[in-house]
Amino acid sequence: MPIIINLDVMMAKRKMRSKDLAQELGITEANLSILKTGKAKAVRFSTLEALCKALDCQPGDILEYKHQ
Amino acid sequence: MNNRFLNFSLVLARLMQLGYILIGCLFIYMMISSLSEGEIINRFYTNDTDSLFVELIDPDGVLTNPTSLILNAIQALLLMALYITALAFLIKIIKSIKTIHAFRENTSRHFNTIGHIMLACFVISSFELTYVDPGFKFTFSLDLTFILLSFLSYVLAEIFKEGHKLWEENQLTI
Repeated sequence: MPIIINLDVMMAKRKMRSKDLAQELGITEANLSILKTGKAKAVRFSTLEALCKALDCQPGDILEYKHQ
Repeated sequence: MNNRFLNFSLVLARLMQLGYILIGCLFIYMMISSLSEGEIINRFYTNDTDSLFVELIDPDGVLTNPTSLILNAIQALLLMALYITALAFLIKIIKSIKTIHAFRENTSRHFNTIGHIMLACFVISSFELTYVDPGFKFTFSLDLTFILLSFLSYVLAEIFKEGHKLWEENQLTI
């Protein structure tokens, strides 16, 4: 998929652990792992909003489009 | 899911499966005992019309011919085995619906297998090979019920495949 999720990069920048982020987002660590590894088929706006709030960033910092 | 109709169909499918197994065992027992005693079908029908519900007409002597009888028995047993297998898959599907796992990949695969089985039933039941002196007689007839059931199963398999895709997409939406 040409959409790349840079969640792990943002998490490293903010020095945030998966467990804490999952707790803040209200999702399981397994689902966060699906999101991080790019296996997710879709992201809800509510999840994206919560991610931006927790990591203090813009959606563009997490999502990236690359030509294939 | 506690659905009365599902429970009823599950019990019915199991009873049918058991019935087919019992009929198959009885059939094999009757065949073996008849063949070993040398009297083929004569023991199952009589000239006394009062004791018969169905009159057997056998002008060519097909029913009393051991070769024809064995060929018919193999065909009947094959069909019975296929029915039992199809029912086993149907039971699995009903169970998966009961446990709210209907849109898993297995359900679509089970429907596909039932479709293949019904297609095999259609092929097996479409021809009949009987031995009439001095040679074999080949009869061909099409039973469209099996082919209809087969197509229906394939359609359902596709529907459940699509359902599985949607379920997977829903599961992978974070």
